[in-house]
Amino acid sequence: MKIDTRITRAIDQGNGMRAECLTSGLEHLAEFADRVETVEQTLDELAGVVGDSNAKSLQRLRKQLAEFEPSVTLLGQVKSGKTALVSALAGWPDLLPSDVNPWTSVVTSLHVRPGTEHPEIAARFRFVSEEEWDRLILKGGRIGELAGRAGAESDLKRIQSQIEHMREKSRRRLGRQFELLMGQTHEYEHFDKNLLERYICLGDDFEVDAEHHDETVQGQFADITRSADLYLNSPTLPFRMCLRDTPGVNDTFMMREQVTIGAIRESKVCVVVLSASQALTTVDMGLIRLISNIDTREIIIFVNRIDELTNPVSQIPEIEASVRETLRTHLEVDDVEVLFGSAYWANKALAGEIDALGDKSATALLNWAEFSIEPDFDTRTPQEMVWELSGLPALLRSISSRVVDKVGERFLQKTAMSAMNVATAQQAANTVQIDANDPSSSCDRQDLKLEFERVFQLNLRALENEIEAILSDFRDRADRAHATFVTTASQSLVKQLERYGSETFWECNVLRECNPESLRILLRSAYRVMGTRIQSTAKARYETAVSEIAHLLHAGFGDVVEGIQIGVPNPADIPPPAMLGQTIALDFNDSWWASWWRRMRGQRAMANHFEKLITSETQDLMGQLKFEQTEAIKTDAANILRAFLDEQRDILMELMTRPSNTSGVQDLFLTETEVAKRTTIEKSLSVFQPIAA
Amino acid sequence: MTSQIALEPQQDHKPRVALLGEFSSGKSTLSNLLLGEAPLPMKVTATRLPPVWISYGEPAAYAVSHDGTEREVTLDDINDLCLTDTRFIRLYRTADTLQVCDLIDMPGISDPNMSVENWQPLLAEIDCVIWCTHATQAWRQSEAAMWDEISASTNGNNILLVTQFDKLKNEFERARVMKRLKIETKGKFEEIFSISLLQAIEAGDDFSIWEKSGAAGFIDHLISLILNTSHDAPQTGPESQEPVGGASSSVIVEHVAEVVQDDPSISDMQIPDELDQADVGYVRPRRVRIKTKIRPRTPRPPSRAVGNG
Repeated sequence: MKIDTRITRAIDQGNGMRAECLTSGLEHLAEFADRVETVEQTLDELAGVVGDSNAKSLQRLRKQLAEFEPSVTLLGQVKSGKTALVSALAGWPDLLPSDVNPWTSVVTSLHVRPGTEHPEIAARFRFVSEEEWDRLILKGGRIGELAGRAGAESDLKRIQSQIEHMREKSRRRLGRQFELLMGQTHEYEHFDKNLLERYICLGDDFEVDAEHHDETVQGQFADITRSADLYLNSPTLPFRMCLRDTPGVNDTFMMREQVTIGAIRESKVCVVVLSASQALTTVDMGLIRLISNIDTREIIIFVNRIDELTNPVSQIPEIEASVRETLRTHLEVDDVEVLFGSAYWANKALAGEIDALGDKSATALLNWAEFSIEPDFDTRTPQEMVWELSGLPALLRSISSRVVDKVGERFLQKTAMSAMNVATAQQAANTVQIDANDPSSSCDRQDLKLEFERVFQLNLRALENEIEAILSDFRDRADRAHATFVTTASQSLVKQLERYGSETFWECNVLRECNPESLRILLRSAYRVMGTRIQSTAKARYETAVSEIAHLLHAGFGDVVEGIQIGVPNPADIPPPAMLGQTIALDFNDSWWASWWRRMRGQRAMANHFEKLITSETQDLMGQLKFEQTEAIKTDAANILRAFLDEQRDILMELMTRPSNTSGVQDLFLTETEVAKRTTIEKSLSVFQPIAA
Repeated sequence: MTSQIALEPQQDHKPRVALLGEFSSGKSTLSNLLLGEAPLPMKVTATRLPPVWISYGEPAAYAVSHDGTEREVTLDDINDLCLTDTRFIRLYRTADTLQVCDLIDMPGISDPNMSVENWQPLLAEIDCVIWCTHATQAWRQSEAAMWDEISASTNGNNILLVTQFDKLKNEFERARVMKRLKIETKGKFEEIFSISLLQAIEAGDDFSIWEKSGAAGFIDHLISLILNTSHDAPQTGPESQEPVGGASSSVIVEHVAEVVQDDPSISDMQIPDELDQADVGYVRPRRVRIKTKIRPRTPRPPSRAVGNG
């Protein structure tokens, strides 16, 4: 594929004023970055004094740590300002192209790294493959399914025709290239807005007419781009991070919504971007519900566009109260962080263009400034004040602490624990070597190996059986919950029919009684119970395995291994039941019900139909919950044990390959080296221990 | 230029124009513009009121319950009304606009705290709709889907009004949004207009601001649409539940609307319409004057006019 290399790097121009204001809010992350660096250094030092197989383990840890990149996804309705916000968060004002019409059509991942060096690859775009196209057209993706189930035939047809139309358009425009591009990847060393527009901005669908037909313009590849990855450096960001910009939900071009929903799973931390002029609509609520199935603490709500308010001082508290009240009433969540700000102000501050705010925006800014001004503002430049008022430092602070507490800390802990195992085992290996002449510790190495494999298999099988038993309980319980829900809903329907007749039925509030939220609550609690049981069972099994290994080592190497500290691995996190957030037709208690009702009107078999409808509506969700998700849980738990035992096998081999005879002089010489080694190991333990604890 | 349209009523009620759209899309501000005053509470968050049915008459307000009973309320209490008990609020004002049509300010869609059940039944009573959509987030799927549901029950004389148009930063942006909306709503509305409501309200007597805000074109079109509809009235929406042919319901009400357009070349200097300063505040749209030849048949129509509960 020939690629235009004349792309200039517009963002290189940068600007001199942003470094001093950008670090505000990132203190927590900076502290974390320091700790990661310490762990990295210690891993390197330790790798220098351990045996080969242990060094391999350490290198693996080192690599995993280097690849660790916390990610944050920004979600919201179309045109809520996600793109501008992502650019500001990355510290590159107006980096991503945005437009008054929705036109971002792919998830764009910004991989931001600390430092000033440019990455080798600056941009990578991946195209959809032929199969992905076919799947989209056949099924219309997930929302297509949803529309199909809801009986809105026209909606499904609409999505299909939107996709088919887009595919035809791409094929016509790209000609023979079209087939060649499917499934391909394009990489660039530099990028600028024009390049991005070609790949990620679908542009205005309607503008494709004969006279505008220019091959190099925006959207050239946008309709076939599946993902865009941009690699950037940031002089102020203390730790690497991935920021994801999504196309947005509630777009009449439903493809975008579908792409966005797919991106929720990719990040632990989600920022839901609302528009101050219309905060928290039913669509926003649906989105929050979808994410809150993952974990409420990981959602940050950012009310953007406060620059468009006429009187932020009085309006912001009013909006906040309303948002909180709505979340409390409808989702029973109380602890979501709600922040206010303006990506527009942030970008202007970053670009050094605060003089060009526009009258209304400047008035709003002044209004807000008078209210939220703090004493130390006197010492700041106007630009820094605008940055502070834009809410970006507060958002960065919130993101930082979540990224660190929720993702980073745990990752580092896991790394430190594995490293500690290696280090303590290395101490034991040294001891084994020194006392190798002790006849009491001699053992049949072949037996030791066989015995180890036996312990390995036994524990693994036991773990799988124990988990399977728990899962089977869970499936029963989920089925019972489901049956109860279906029965209750159908019965209440029959009762209401008898009381009111079918004519006025849908105007009654009775439909609340078959609110799928109640089914979700039942399933979620069953899932939670199952998760807790699995974690404690896995933990117990891991402990058994560790003590059996300890026994084995003691039998094989005698008293000399007594000092060994083998850490018990942590059970895997139970993945959140994200599929419970999936919108099903039953959620549409407004228009969808009305139309279902109209079709059903007059039929006495309504209750029967209703029961069938609920069952088929929830079938997919139940299947995913009972089988797909639980299979993953089982695999995760087994993999942790397997990885741990593999590590132990490495350690065992290391212990066994130690030479058993050494001469006196060498012995003396070696001891000096060993002392240095041990100091290094002890030092590393003192680093890892507090982190692993 | 003055155009005069004389009317003969072909239906037994004035056209009922519903203001619809997502919450915070400017419906209430629009009703303020059309009424020339702000009788209803306004908030930056969703205004949670039942539908407000505004008709011509001596200022008064009534809460109408589902069984049709009415109870006089004051505007200060209006926020405390129970949403589920109140079918709608009946409001009487003496604004000029109300001489040719009733306005029904509907609750915003997409408000998680406002169930569609609270207002959807009232849609059967309306004739046409002004759908408000916020310029910076115009015409989203939730709007398109809702409009597909309800547009069939109107007489087709519906207007899509793009509000907060001044939030778009330049001419290029404005043109692009309008172009997209024209394509995406093709065949769904009689006409699309854009407006900066606050600018229009603040325009006062300054015709150039009034025109620049988009209000002039929109109001002109709206009034002539309403008057022409009543005039031609081939189909006036859902069947009326009024007794047919009763003498009391066929009182002739005749309106003459004047749509005044000042000569742009002299409009800056002109202080228009001193004749018609009457009793309203300065925010009143002065470019539309409606002269009523015969007063509406009663200041307070009976409740049956809005359905039988």
